[in-house]
Amino acid sequence: MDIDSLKYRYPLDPTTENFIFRTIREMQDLLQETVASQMKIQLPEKAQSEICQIYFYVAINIENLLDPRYKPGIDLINKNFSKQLANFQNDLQGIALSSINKGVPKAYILEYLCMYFESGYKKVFPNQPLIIG
Amino acid sequence: MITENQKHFIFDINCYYQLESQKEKFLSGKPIDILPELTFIALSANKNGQTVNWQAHYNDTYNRLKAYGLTDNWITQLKTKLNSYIGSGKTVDDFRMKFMTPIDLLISMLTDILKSVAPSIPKAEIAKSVIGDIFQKNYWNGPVVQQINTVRTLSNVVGFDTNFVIEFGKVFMQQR
Repeated sequence: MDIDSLKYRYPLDPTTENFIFRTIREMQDLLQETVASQMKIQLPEKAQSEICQIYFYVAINIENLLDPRYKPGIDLINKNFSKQLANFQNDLQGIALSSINKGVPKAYILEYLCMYFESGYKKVFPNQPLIIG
Repeated sequence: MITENQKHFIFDINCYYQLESQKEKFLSGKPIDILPELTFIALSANKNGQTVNWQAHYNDTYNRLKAYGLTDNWITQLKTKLNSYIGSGKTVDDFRMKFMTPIDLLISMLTDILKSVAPSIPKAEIAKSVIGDIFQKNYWNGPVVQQINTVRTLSNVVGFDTNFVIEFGKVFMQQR
């Protein structure tokens, strides 16, 4: 099954989409506050978008698939956002379970979570590309 | 092949002007923009659970540049050309590229030449002679002309004088 047919057969739940959008937005704010207070730097939008993506990829345990140049971003997430990461992982597990209960095949659950993430991400960072397609 | 000290030397020069360009921000307690070498410092400090103090880094880097053997004149010229470059609306990232591209090439030329020169000749003298020839002689032919022209952009694009590049080369070659 390709992504389009997955989305067609199991449309995204708007409440969950909105939840993911808010989570990414909150992460963006928290990230900026954290790097400004601890590292005394300000991140351009591109870097913010990449780190928010890394946050998601770490949460679903596929960070090893990322290009090695994103390793500092992975370290940044693990070092500074472990509590938020644990909460996000719990939330994603809940979304995964409820999606499976609605019929989404288990084999496609990561792709399905990625669709939720992509939907929220595009609202927060409409001009920034995904680092993995 | 360049040594670890030579790598640190180049890294510190890059850090220094990147911090210099944002002095007002860190002196007033504002977060600074990320730039390549500064990002590395920020991430390393964060990894070790430390908060970055850019003012202290700026001072430490200046002291290290002096300890490598660079003069105040050299550091002042670096700052002046940087300010003039970014004052014309270009970015520090652009400056880094315009600075590092010819510098990388120059380093490669110097280290290549070093292999064929008797070890008894002081490295600083080799640097002085080679860089002087690069900027002042016009007998170059063949593929090297492209390299010579690239190194000369340090002068005709960024605005450094020949003595600035010679001092850089001498101090670079003296790092073990």
